[in-house]
Amino acid sequence: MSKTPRDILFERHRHVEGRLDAIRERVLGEELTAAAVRGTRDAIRMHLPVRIWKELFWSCRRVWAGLSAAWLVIIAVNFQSLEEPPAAQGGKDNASPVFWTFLLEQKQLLAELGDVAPAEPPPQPVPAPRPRSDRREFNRVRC
Amino acid sequence: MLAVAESKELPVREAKAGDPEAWSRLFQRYQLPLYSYVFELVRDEQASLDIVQETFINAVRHVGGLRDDEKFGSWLFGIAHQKCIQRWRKPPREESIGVEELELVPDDEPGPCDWLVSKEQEEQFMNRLNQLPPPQRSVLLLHFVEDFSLEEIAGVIGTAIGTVKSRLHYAKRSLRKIIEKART
Repeated sequence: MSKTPRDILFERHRHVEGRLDAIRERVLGEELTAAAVRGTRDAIRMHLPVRIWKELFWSCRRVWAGLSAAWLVIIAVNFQSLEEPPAAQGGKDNASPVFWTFLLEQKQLLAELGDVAPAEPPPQPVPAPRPRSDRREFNRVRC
Repeated sequence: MLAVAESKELPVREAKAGDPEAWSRLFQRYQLPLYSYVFELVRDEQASLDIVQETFINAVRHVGGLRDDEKFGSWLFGIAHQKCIQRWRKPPREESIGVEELELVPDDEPGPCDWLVSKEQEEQFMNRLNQLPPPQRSVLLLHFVEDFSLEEIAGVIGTAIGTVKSRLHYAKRSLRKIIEKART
């Protein structure tokens, strides 16, 4: 029976097919995994902001929403307390009518004083430098 | 033309997309032809297996550079051929072919399926094949194993089509003598 050169060649090397299968499996296992890792790395690099958003914020969005609401409440309360006069805080004002009369008088006095513009204080004269002899004497005394 | 018909059905596009099943099919299809080609050039089993492995690794890593999917086979053999040359350390010296010699080469040469070797001739045929100078052996093996066209063989070994044609002609003539001698 005659064969083509191709058949002859393949028959002569068919005994290594098992080893070739093993090589194929190994190469595919290692190289395709490595290629997948490389692809994943590239994808991470390309979509880093999106991934950060998804993994850090979007995954625990309820927690973040709760925390933001809590902070908003804290800030609102803080602002409200700043705007309120001290008298309104907790109704702790037990001041007597005498105190209120005194406060009113003080207020009137302040208003009167406010009408008269206070004179500006005269500029302080710049002290002239002391003579060197004085300084030397002073140093001597110190020694 | 077995190689051409099969290559159209090969899942090269899927392999490019990283499909392991496609790669497995491709390597299964080419592992034995590739090994046969490499072994007949380097004549060492372990070295041949190493070259096949390195060829597969390179194929997976650089398949993105393959422009024409239908040329996957010759591209793969091209990688293996380069690995063989690296093994030999020194690339085989190119034979200078004269214009007169090229003109003598006929165009209507028989295809690989037209070659029929009887059981008795097999050993003699293989011995003669191994005695051929590596450049001629390489061209003839690519012709026999995958039935690559002259253009594809030229791409695999990196030479001019005219050189491939001439080498193939002389290698075939040399082997045909054995078959004809056995017949007479």
